[in-house]
Amino acid sequence: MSRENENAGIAPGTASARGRGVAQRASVVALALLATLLAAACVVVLVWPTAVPGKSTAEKADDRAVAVQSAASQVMKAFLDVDYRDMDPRVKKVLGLSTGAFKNQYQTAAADLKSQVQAAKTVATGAVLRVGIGDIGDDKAVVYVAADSNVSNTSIEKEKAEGKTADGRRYYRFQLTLTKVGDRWLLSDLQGIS
Amino acid sequence: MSDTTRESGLAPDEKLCPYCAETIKAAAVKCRYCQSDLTAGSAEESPEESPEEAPGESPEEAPGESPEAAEAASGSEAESEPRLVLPGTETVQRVGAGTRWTVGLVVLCLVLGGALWFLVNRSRHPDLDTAPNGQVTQSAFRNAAMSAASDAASQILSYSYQTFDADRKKGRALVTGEAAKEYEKAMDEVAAKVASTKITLKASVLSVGAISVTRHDARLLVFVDTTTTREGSQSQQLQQSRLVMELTRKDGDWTVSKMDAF
Repeated sequence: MSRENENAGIAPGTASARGRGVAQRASVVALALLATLLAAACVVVLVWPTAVPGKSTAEKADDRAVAVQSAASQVMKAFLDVDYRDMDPRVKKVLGLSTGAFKNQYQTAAADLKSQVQAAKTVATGAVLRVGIGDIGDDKAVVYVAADSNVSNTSIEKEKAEGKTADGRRYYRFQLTLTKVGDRWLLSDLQGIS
Repeated sequence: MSDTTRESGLAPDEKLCPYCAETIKAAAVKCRYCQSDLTAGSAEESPEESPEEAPGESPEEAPGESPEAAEAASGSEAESEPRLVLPGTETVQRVGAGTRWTVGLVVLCLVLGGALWFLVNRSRHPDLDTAPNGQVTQSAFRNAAMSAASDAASQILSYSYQTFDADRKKGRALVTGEAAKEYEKAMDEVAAKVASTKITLKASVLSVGAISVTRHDARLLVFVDTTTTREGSQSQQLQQSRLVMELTRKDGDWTVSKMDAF
Protein backbone atom coordinates (compact mmCIF):
# COMPACT_ATOMS: atom_id res chain seq x y z
CA MET A 1 0.00 0.00 0.00
CA SER A 2 1.42 3.41 -1.01
CA ARG A 3 1.77 6.25 1.44
CA GLU A 4 -0.69 8.42 -0.54
CA ASN A 5 -3.32 5.70 -0.55
CA GLU A 6 -2.70 5.04 3.07
CA ASN A 7 -3.33 8.68 3.87
CA ALA A 8 -6.42 8.81 1.73
CA GLY A 9 -7.76 5.59 3.22
CA ILE A 10 -7.97 3.97 -0.21
CA ALA A 11 -6.77 0.42 -0.66
CA PRO A 12 -4.58 -0.30 -3.70
CA GLY A 13 -6.66 -1.45 -6.70
CA THR A 14 -9.88 -0.07 -5.22
CA ALA A 15 -10.37 2.64 -7.85
CA SER A 16 -9.60 0.34 -10.79
CA ALA A 17 -11.86 -2.38 -9.41
CA ARG A 18 -14.66 0.11 -8.93
CA GLY A 19 -14.18 1.38 -12.50
CA ARG A 20 -14.20 -2.13 -13.83
CA GLY A 21 -17.37 -2.89 -11.91
CA VAL A 22 -19.11 0.16 -13.35
CA ALA A 23 -18.00 -0.75 -16.88
CA GLN A 24 -19.21 -4.31 -16.40
CA ARG A 25 -22.58 -3.17 -15.16
CA ALA A 26 -22.88 -0.82 -18.13
CA SER A 27 -22.04 -3.61 -20.56
CA VAL A 28 -24.58 -5.94 -18.90
CA VAL A 29 -27.27 -3.27 -19.17
CA ALA A 30 -26.36 -2.61 -22.83
CA LEU A 31 -26.42 -6.32 -23.67
CA ALA A 32 -29.71 -6.81 -21.86
CA LEU A 33 -31.16 -3.90 -23.86
CA LEU A 34 -29.84 -5.38 -27.12
CA ALA A 35 -31.26 -8.81 -26.25
CA THR A 36 -34.64 -7.24 -25.51
CA LEU A 37 -34.63 -5.39 -28.83
CA LEU A 38 -33.65 -8.54 -30.74
CA ALA A 39 -36.36 -10.57 -29.01
CA ALA A 40 -38.95 -7.88 -29.81
CA ALA A 41 -37.81 -7.79 -33.46
CA CYS A 42 -38.13 -11.60 -33.66
CA VAL A 43 -41.69 -11.44 -32.33
CA VAL A 44 -42.62 -8.65 -34.76
CA VAL A 45 -41.21 -10.51 -37.78
CA LEU A 46 -42.83 -13.78 -36.67
CA VAL A 47 -46.28 -12.26 -36.14
CA TRP A 48 -46.11 -9.67 -38.90
CA PRO A 49 -43.75 -10.81 -41.70
CA THR A 50 -44.63 -7.84 -43.90
CA ALA A 51 -42.93 -5.61 -41.35
CA VAL A 52 -39.60 -6.67 -42.85
CA PRO A 53 -38.38 -3.70 -44.85
CA GLY A 54 -37.88 -4.26 -48.55
CA LYS A 55 -39.87 -6.49 -50.88
CA SER A 56 -39.73 -10.27 -50.92
CA THR A 57 -39.09 -12.25 -54.10
CA ALA A 58 -42.78 -13.18 -54.21
CA GLU A 59 -43.87 -9.60 -53.69
CA LYS A 60 -41.65 -8.43 -56.55
CA ALA A 61 -42.99 -11.23 -58.77
CA ASP A 62 -46.56 -10.25 -57.90
CA ASP A 63 -45.81 -6.59 -58.65
CA ARG A 64 -44.43 -7.71 -62.01
CA ALA A 65 -47.57 -9.74 -62.76
CA VAL A 66 -49.80 -6.80 -61.85
CA ALA A 67 -47.71 -4.51 -64.09
CA VAL A 68 -47.97 -6.98 -66.98
CA GLN A 69 -51.76 -7.34 -66.59
CA SER A 70 -52.16 -3.59 -66.44
CA ALA A 71 -49.97 -3.01 -69.52
CA ALA A 72 -51.82 -5.71 -71.48
CA SER A 73 -55.16 -4.22 -70.57
CA GLN A 74 -54.05 -0.70 -71.49
CA VAL A 75 -52.59 -1.57 -74.89
CA MET A 76 -55.52 -3.83 -75.76
CA LYS A 77 -58.00 -1.08 -75.01
CA ALA A 78 -55.97 1.36 -77.11
CA PHE A 79 -55.81 -1.16 -79.96
CA LEU A 80 -59.59 -1.63 -79.99
CA ASP A 81 -60.30 2.07 -79.81
CA VAL A 82 -61.17 3.22 -83.33
CA ASP A 83 -62.71 6.43 -84.59
CA TYR A 84 -62.44 7.32 -88.27
CA ARG A 85 -62.78 11.05 -87.44
CA ASP A 86 -59.64 11.16 -85.31
CA MET A 87 -57.31 8.21 -85.88
CA ASP A 88 -53.90 9.85 -85.57
CA PRO A 89 -53.78 10.17 -81.76
CA ARG A 90 -55.16 6.62 -81.46
CA VAL A 91 -52.47 5.20 -83.72
CA LYS A 92 -49.86 7.21 -81.85
CA LYS A 93 -51.09 5.83 -78.52
CA VAL A 94 -50.83 2.22 -79.72
CA LEU A 95 -47.33 2.84 -81.06
CA GLY A 96 -46.35 4.39 -77.74
CA LEU A 97 -47.43 1.22 -75.92
CA SER A 98 -45.70 -1.21 -78.30
CA THR A 99 -42.22 -2.28 -79.33
CA GLY A 100 -40.33 -4.63 -81.63
CA ALA A 101 -42.08 -6.60 -84.37
CA PHE A 102 -45.60 -5.49 -83.49
CA LYS A 103 -44.63 -1.82 -83.48
CA ASN A 104 -43.02 -2.16 -86.90
CA GLN A 105 -46.05 -4.01 -88.33
CA TYR A 106 -48.52 -1.55 -86.88
CA GLN A 107 -46.49 1.40 -88.07
CA THR A 108 -46.38 -0.06 -91.59
CA ALA A 109 -50.10 -0.85 -91.59
CA ALA A 110 -51.18 2.41 -89.94
CA ALA A 111 -51.78 4.27 -93.22
CA ASP A 112 -53.95 1.43 -94.63
CA LEU A 113 -55.82 1.10 -91.36
CA LYS A 114 -56.55 4.79 -91.31
CA SER A 115 -57.90 4.83 -94.88
CA GLN A 116 -60.04 1.69 -94.25
CA VAL A 117 -61.69 3.02 -91.09
CA GLN A 118 -62.31 6.34 -92.79
CA ALA A 119 -63.88 4.64 -95.81
CA ALA A 120 -66.12 2.48 -93.61
CA LYS A 121 -66.70 5.26 -91.10
CA THR A 122 -65.78 2.86 -88.33
CA VAL A 123 -66.17 3.71 -84.69
CA ALA A 124 -65.33 1.03 -82.13
CA THR A 125 -64.87 0.98 -78.41
CA GLY A 126 -63.19 -1.95 -76.75
CA ALA A 127 -63.56 -3.40 -73.28
CA VAL A 128 -61.05 -5.73 -71.71
CA LEU A 129 -62.92 -8.35 -69.72
CA ARG A 130 -60.22 -10.72 -68.43
CA VAL A 131 -56.45 -10.88 -68.53
CA GLY A 132 -54.67 -14.13 -67.70
CA ILE A 133 -50.95 -14.65 -67.57
CA GLY A 134 -49.74 -17.73 -69.43
CA ASP A 135 -46.04 -17.30 -68.81
CA ILE A 136 -43.96 -14.59 -67.23
CA GLY A 137 -40.25 -13.96 -66.96
CA ASP A 138 -38.00 -11.07 -66.02
CA ASP A 139 -38.41 -9.30 -69.36
CA LYS A 140 -40.99 -11.24 -71.37
CA ALA A 141 -44.56 -12.35 -70.71
CA VAL A 142 -47.26 -14.17 -72.63
CA VAL A 143 -50.71 -12.94 -71.72
CA TYR A 144 -54.22 -14.00 -72.81
CA VAL A 145 -56.91 -11.38 -73.08
CA ALA A 146 -60.64 -11.72 -73.49
CA ALA A 147 -62.07 -8.50 -74.89
CA ASP A 148 -65.31 -7.26 -76.41
CA SER A 149 -65.87 -4.43 -78.80
CA ASN A 150 -68.88 -2.47 -79.99
CA VAL A 151 -68.41 -1.67 -83.65
CA SER A 152 -70.31 0.75 -85.79
CA ASN A 153 -69.64 1.23 -89.51
CA THR A 154 -71.48 1.92 -92.77
CA SER A 155 -72.18 -1.76 -93.37
CA ILE A 156 -73.79 -2.31 -89.97
CA GLU A 157 -75.74 0.92 -90.19
CA LYS A 158 -77.00 -0.07 -93.65
CA GLU A 159 -78.22 -3.44 -92.36
CA LYS A 160 -79.95 -1.74 -89.47
CA ALA A 161 -81.59 0.70 -91.87
CA GLU A 162 -82.84 -2.26 -93.92
CA GLY A 163 -84.37 -3.76 -90.82
CA LYS A 164 -81.93 -6.62 -90.64
CA THR A 165 -80.46 -7.86 -87.40
CA ALA A 166 -77.05 -6.28 -87.33
CA ASP A 167 -74.92 -7.06 -84.35
CA GLY A 168 -71.99 -4.74 -83.93
CA ARG A 169 -70.72 -6.64 -80.94
CA ARG A 170 -67.40 -8.46 -81.36
CA TYR A 171 -65.90 -11.07 -79.05
CA TYR A 172 -62.13 -11.43 -79.09
CA ARG A 173 -59.57 -13.86 -77.79
CA PHE A 174 -56.03 -12.53 -78.00
CA GLN A 175 -52.57 -13.75 -77.17
CA LEU A 176 -50.19 -10.91 -76.36
CA THR A 177 -46.45 -11.04 -75.93
CA LEU A 178 -45.15 -8.23 -73.79
CA THR A 179 -41.51 -7.24 -73.57
CA LYS A 180 -40.00 -5.16 -70.82
CA VAL A 181 -38.24 -2.07 -72.12
CA GLY A 182 -36.68 -0.05 -69.32
CA ASP A 183 -39.32 -0.14 -66.61
CA ARG A 184 -42.28 -0.47 -69.01
CA TRP A 185 -44.02 -3.55 -70.39
CA LEU A 186 -44.75 -3.02 -74.09
CA LEU A 187 -46.64 -5.06 -76.65
CA SER A 188 -44.21 -6.89 -78.95
CA ASP A 189 -46.58 -9.41 -80.55
CA LEU A 190 -50.34 -9.78 -80.94
CA GLN A 191 -52.19 -12.86 -82.19
CA GLY A 192 -55.88 -13.45 -82.41
CA ILE A 193 -56.87 -16.94 -81.17
CA SER A 194 -59.50 -18.40 -83.44
CA MET B 1 -3.49 -16.11 -5.32
CA SER B 2 -6.72 -14.90 -6.80
CA ASP B 3 -6.94 -11.80 -9.00
CA THR B 4 -8.86 -9.98 -6.38
CA THR B 5 -6.31 -10.67 -3.69
CA ARG B 6 -3.48 -9.75 -6.07
CA GLU B 7 -5.11 -6.43 -6.90
CA SER B 8 -5.78 -5.56 -3.31
CA GLY B 9 -2.13 -6.34 -2.46
CA LEU B 10 -2.96 -8.85 0.28
CA ALA B 11 -1.08 -12.04 0.91
CA PRO B 12 -3.14 -15.19 1.43
CA ASP B 13 -2.60 -14.98 5.18
CA GLU B 14 -3.50 -11.30 5.37
CA LYS B 15 -6.69 -9.29 5.60
CA LEU B 16 -7.74 -5.70 6.05
CA CYS B 17 -8.89 -4.42 9.37
CA PRO B 18 -12.54 -3.46 8.88
CA TYR B 19 -12.08 -0.49 11.20
CA CYS B 20 -8.79 1.14 10.18
CA ALA B 21 -8.22 -0.60 6.81
CA GLU B 22 -4.68 -1.56 7.70
CA THR B 23 -3.27 -4.90 6.59
CA ILE B 24 -3.22 -7.42 9.36
CA LYS B 25 -2.87 -11.20 9.67
CA ALA B 26 -5.91 -13.18 8.62
CA ALA B 27 -5.93 -15.01 11.95
CA ALA B 28 -5.78 -11.81 13.99
CA VAL B 29 -8.57 -11.32 16.54
CA LYS B 30 -7.45 -7.81 17.42
CA CYS B 31 -6.06 -5.11 15.15
CA ARG B 32 -2.53 -4.26 15.97
CA TYR B 33 -2.99 -0.73 14.63
CA CYS B 34 -6.29 0.44 16.05
CA GLN B 35 -6.71 -2.20 18.73
CA SER B 36 -10.21 -3.02 17.53
CA ASP B 37 -11.74 -6.32 18.59
CA LEU B 38 -12.08 -8.64 15.58
CA THR B 39 -13.72 -11.56 17.33
CA ALA B 40 -16.92 -13.25 16.09
CA GLY B 41 -19.25 -10.93 17.99
CA SER B 42 -17.90 -7.87 16.30
CA ALA B 43 -17.58 -9.66 12.96
CA GLU B 44 -21.36 -10.07 12.84
CA GLU B 45 -21.58 -6.31 12.76
CA SER B 46 -18.81 -6.17 10.22
CA PRO B 47 -18.98 -3.13 8.03
CA GLU B 48 -17.72 -5.34 5.18
CA GLU B 49 -21.24 -6.74 4.86
CA SER B 50 -22.67 -4.64 2.07
CA PRO B 51 -25.76 -2.78 3.15
CA GLU B 52 -26.76 -2.55 -0.54
CA GLU B 53 -26.74 -6.28 -1.09
CA ALA B 54 -30.01 -7.98 -0.30
CA PRO B 55 -29.73 -11.38 1.40
CA GLY B 56 -31.35 -13.06 -1.57
CA GLU B 57 -28.63 -11.85 -3.92
CA SER B 58 -26.05 -14.02 -2.22
CA PRO B 59 -27.57 -17.44 -1.93
CA GLU B 60 -24.30 -19.17 -1.15
CA GLU B 61 -23.64 -16.84 1.73
CA ALA B 62 -25.38 -17.43 5.01
CA PRO B 63 -26.99 -14.34 6.54
CA GLY B 64 -24.62 -12.57 8.87
CA GLU B 65 -21.63 -14.50 7.63
CA SER B 66 -18.72 -12.30 6.66
CA PRO B 67 -17.13 -12.69 3.21
CA GLU B 68 -13.90 -13.79 4.83
CA ALA B 69 -15.71 -16.46 6.79
CA ALA B 70 -17.48 -17.67 3.67
CA GLU B 71 -14.20 -17.72 1.78
CA ALA B 72 -12.55 -19.69 4.54
CA ALA B 73 -15.44 -22.12 4.63
CA SER B 74 -15.31 -22.81 0.92
CA GLY B 75 -11.92 -22.46 -0.69
CA SER B 76 -12.95 -23.75 -4.10
CA GLU B 77 -15.98 -21.51 -4.21
CA ALA B 78 -13.81 -18.53 -3.43
CA GLU B 79 -11.54 -19.53 -6.31
CA SER B 80 -14.34 -19.62 -8.82
CA GLU B 81 -16.13 -16.56 -7.53
CA PRO B 82 -13.66 -14.19 -5.89
CA ARG B 83 -14.92 -11.21 -3.97
CA LEU B 84 -13.24 -7.87 -3.77
CA VAL B 85 -13.53 -6.11 -0.46
CA LEU B 86 -13.43 -2.36 -0.79
CA PRO B 87 -12.41 -0.82 2.47
CA GLY B 88 -14.02 2.48 3.17
CA THR B 89 -16.84 1.93 0.64
CA GLU B 90 -18.28 -1.09 2.45
CA THR B 91 -19.21 -2.67 -0.91
CA VAL B 92 -18.81 -6.24 -2.01
CA GLN B 93 -18.33 -6.54 -5.78
CA ARG B 94 -19.47 -9.77 -7.34
CA VAL B 95 -16.95 -9.88 -10.17
CA GLY B 96 -17.62 -13.51 -11.19
CA ALA B 97 -21.39 -13.05 -11.29
CA GLY B 98 -21.00 -9.98 -13.50
CA THR B 99 -18.81 -11.88 -15.94
CA ARG B 100 -21.32 -14.72 -16.10
CA TRP B 101 -24.11 -12.23 -16.85
CA THR B 102 -22.04 -10.66 -19.61
CA VAL B 103 -21.20 -13.99 -21.23
CA GLY B 104 -24.78 -15.19 -20.89
CA LEU B 105 -26.18 -12.06 -22.48
CA VAL B 106 -23.66 -12.18 -25.33
CA VAL B 107 -24.72 -15.77 -26.06
CA LEU B 108 -28.40 -14.77 -25.83
CA CYS B 109 -27.84 -11.86 -28.22
CA LEU B 110 -26.09 -14.15 -30.69
CA VAL B 111 -28.94 -16.68 -30.53
CA LEU B 112 -31.58 -13.98 -30.94
CA GLY B 113 -29.61 -12.37 -33.77
CA GLY B 114 -29.48 -15.73 -35.57
CA ALA B 115 -33.20 -16.27 -35.02
CA LEU B 116 -33.96 -12.79 -36.37
CA TRP B 117 -31.82 -13.41 -39.44
CA PHE B 118 -33.64 -16.71 -40.06
CA LEU B 119 -37.08 -15.14 -39.67
CA VAL B 120 -36.26 -12.18 -41.93
CA ASN B 121 -34.79 -14.52 -44.54
CA ARG B 122 -37.84 -16.78 -44.35
CA SER B 123 -40.22 -13.85 -44.77
CA ARG B 124 -38.35 -12.84 -47.94
CA HIS B 125 -38.08 -16.34 -49.35
CA PRO B 126 -41.11 -18.28 -48.14
CA ASP B 127 -41.51 -21.92 -49.11
CA LEU B 128 -44.21 -21.28 -51.67
CA ASP B 129 -43.22 -17.82 -52.95
CA THR B 130 -46.36 -16.23 -51.61
CA ALA B 131 -46.81 -12.46 -51.82
CA PRO B 132 -48.40 -10.63 -48.86
CA ASN B 133 -51.70 -10.46 -50.79
CA GLY B 134 -51.76 -14.27 -50.96
CA GLN B 135 -50.75 -14.61 -54.59
CA VAL B 136 -48.48 -17.58 -55.21
CA THR B 137 -45.83 -16.65 -57.74
CA GLN B 138 -44.00 -19.97 -57.92
CA SER B 139 -44.11 -21.08 -61.57
CA ALA B 140 -44.49 -24.80 -60.84
CA PHE B 141 -47.48 -24.17 -58.57
CA ARG B 142 -49.20 -21.86 -61.08
CA ASN B 143 -48.49 -24.26 -63.94
CA ALA B 144 -50.07 -27.10 -61.97
CA ALA B 145 -53.25 -25.06 -61.53
CA MET B 146 -53.31 -24.12 -65.23
CA SER B 147 -52.68 -27.71 -66.28
CA ALA B 148 -55.50 -28.92 -64.02
CA ALA B 149 -57.86 -26.33 -65.51
CA SER B 150 -56.94 -27.38 -69.04
CA ASP B 151 -57.50 -31.08 -68.31
CA ALA B 152 -60.74 -30.43 -66.47
CA ALA B 153 -62.18 -28.16 -69.19
CA SER B 154 -61.46 -30.61 -71.99
CA GLN B 155 -62.83 -33.51 -69.92
CA ILE B 156 -65.98 -31.76 -68.73
CA LEU B 157 -66.87 -30.31 -72.13
CA SER B 158 -66.21 -33.51 -74.07
CA TYR B 159 -68.78 -36.30 -74.25
CA SER B 160 -70.30 -38.66 -76.74
CA TYR B 161 -73.68 -40.32 -77.05
CA GLN B 162 -71.78 -43.64 -77.15
CA THR B 163 -69.92 -43.16 -73.87
CA PHE B 164 -72.13 -40.61 -72.17
CA ASP B 165 -72.40 -42.25 -68.74
CA ALA B 166 -68.66 -42.88 -68.49
CA ASP B 167 -67.88 -39.35 -69.70
CA ARG B 168 -70.31 -37.93 -67.14
CA LYS B 169 -68.72 -39.95 -64.36
CA LYS B 170 -65.27 -38.66 -65.29
CA GLY B 171 -66.53 -35.08 -65.40
CA ARG B 172 -68.31 -35.45 -62.04
CA ALA B 173 -65.01 -36.39 -60.40
CA LEU B 174 -63.46 -33.08 -61.48
CA VAL B 175 -66.06 -30.71 -60.06
CA THR B 176 -66.97 -29.72 -56.55
CA GLY B 177 -69.36 -27.45 -54.67
CA GLU B 178 -71.59 -25.21 -56.77
CA ALA B 179 -69.99 -26.41 -59.99
CA ALA B 180 -70.97 -30.01 -59.17
CA LYS B 181 -74.65 -29.05 -58.88
CA GLU B 182 -74.54 -27.05 -62.11
CA TYR B 183 -72.73 -29.86 -63.88
CA GLU B 184 -75.35 -32.42 -62.87
CA LYS B 185 -78.14 -30.09 -63.92
CA ALA B 186 -76.54 -29.39 -67.31
CA MET B 187 -75.82 -33.05 -67.96
CA ASP B 188 -79.40 -34.01 -67.04
CA GLU B 189 -80.59 -31.55 -69.66
CA VAL B 190 -78.30 -32.76 -72.46
CA ALA B 191 -78.57 -36.49 -71.70
CA ALA B 192 -81.73 -37.10 -73.73
CA LYS B 193 -80.66 -34.74 -76.51
CA VAL B 194 -77.25 -36.41 -76.89
CA ALA B 195 -78.86 -39.84 -77.24
CA SER B 196 -81.51 -38.75 -79.71
CA THR B 197 -79.23 -36.66 -81.93
CA LYS B 198 -76.27 -38.98 -81.59
CA ILE B 199 -73.78 -36.19 -81.20
CA THR B 200 -70.21 -36.15 -79.98
CA LEU B 201 -68.60 -33.06 -78.47
CA LYS B 202 -64.84 -32.75 -78.45
CA ALA B 203 -63.34 -29.83 -76.53
CA SER B 204 -59.82 -28.57 -77.19
CA VAL B 205 -58.22 -26.13 -74.79
CA LEU B 206 -56.17 -23.61 -76.76
CA SER B 207 -54.73 -21.57 -73.95
CA VAL B 208 -54.91 -20.99 -70.23
CA GLY B 209 -53.89 -17.86 -68.39
CA ALA B 210 -53.78 -17.28 -64.66
CA ILE B 211 -55.90 -14.41 -63.39
CA SER B 212 -55.24 -15.16 -59.73
CA VAL B 213 -53.54 -18.05 -57.94
CA THR B 214 -53.44 -18.45 -54.17
CA ARG B 215 -52.58 -21.47 -52.04
CA HIS B 216 -56.12 -22.80 -52.07
CA ASP B 217 -57.90 -21.09 -54.98
CA ALA B 218 -57.18 -20.22 -58.58
CA ARG B 219 -59.05 -18.18 -61.21
CA LEU B 220 -58.08 -18.95 -64.76
CA LEU B 221 -58.94 -17.63 -68.18
CA VAL B 222 -59.43 -20.55 -70.57
CA PHE B 223 -59.94 -20.41 -74.33
CA VAL B 224 -61.71 -23.52 -75.63
CA ASP B 225 -62.85 -24.67 -79.04
CA THR B 226 -65.58 -27.30 -79.05
CA THR B 227 -66.47 -29.27 -82.17
CA THR B 228 -69.82 -31.01 -82.36
CA THR B 229 -70.17 -33.95 -84.76
CA ARG B 230 -73.43 -35.67 -85.55
CA GLU B 231 -73.42 -39.40 -86.29
CA GLY B 232 -73.45 -39.96 -90.06
CA SER B 233 -72.77 -36.31 -90.85
CA GLN B 234 -69.53 -35.03 -92.34
CA SER B 235 -70.03 -31.48 -91.15
CA GLN B 236 -68.83 -30.19 -87.80
CA GLN B 237 -70.00 -27.31 -85.75
CA LEU B 238 -67.31 -25.21 -84.06
CA GLN B 239 -67.93 -23.21 -80.93
CA GLN B 240 -65.27 -20.82 -79.66
CA SER B 241 -65.55 -20.20 -75.95
CA ARG B 242 -64.01 -18.02 -73.31
CA LEU B 243 -64.25 -19.44 -69.82
CA VAL B 244 -63.35 -18.28 -66.37
CA MET B 245 -62.69 -21.33 -64.25
CA GLU B 246 -62.34 -21.24 -60.51
CA LEU B 247 -60.42 -24.11 -58.98
CA THR B 248 -60.10 -25.16 -55.37
CA ARG B 249 -57.08 -27.04 -54.05
CA LYS B 250 -57.58 -29.82 -51.55
CA ASP B 251 -55.02 -32.44 -50.54
CA GLY B 252 -52.78 -31.24 -53.35
CA ASP B 253 -55.41 -31.73 -56.06
CA TRP B 254 -57.23 -29.00 -57.95
CA THR B 255 -60.94 -29.40 -58.59
CA VAL B 256 -63.33 -27.09 -60.45
CA SER B 257 -65.57 -25.09 -58.13
CA LYS B 258 -67.01 -22.72 -60.75
CA MET B 259 -67.01 -22.46 -64.53
CA ASP B 260 -68.53 -19.55 -66.41
CA ALA B 261 -68.60 -18.88 -70.13
CA PHE B 262 -68.78 -15.21 -71.09
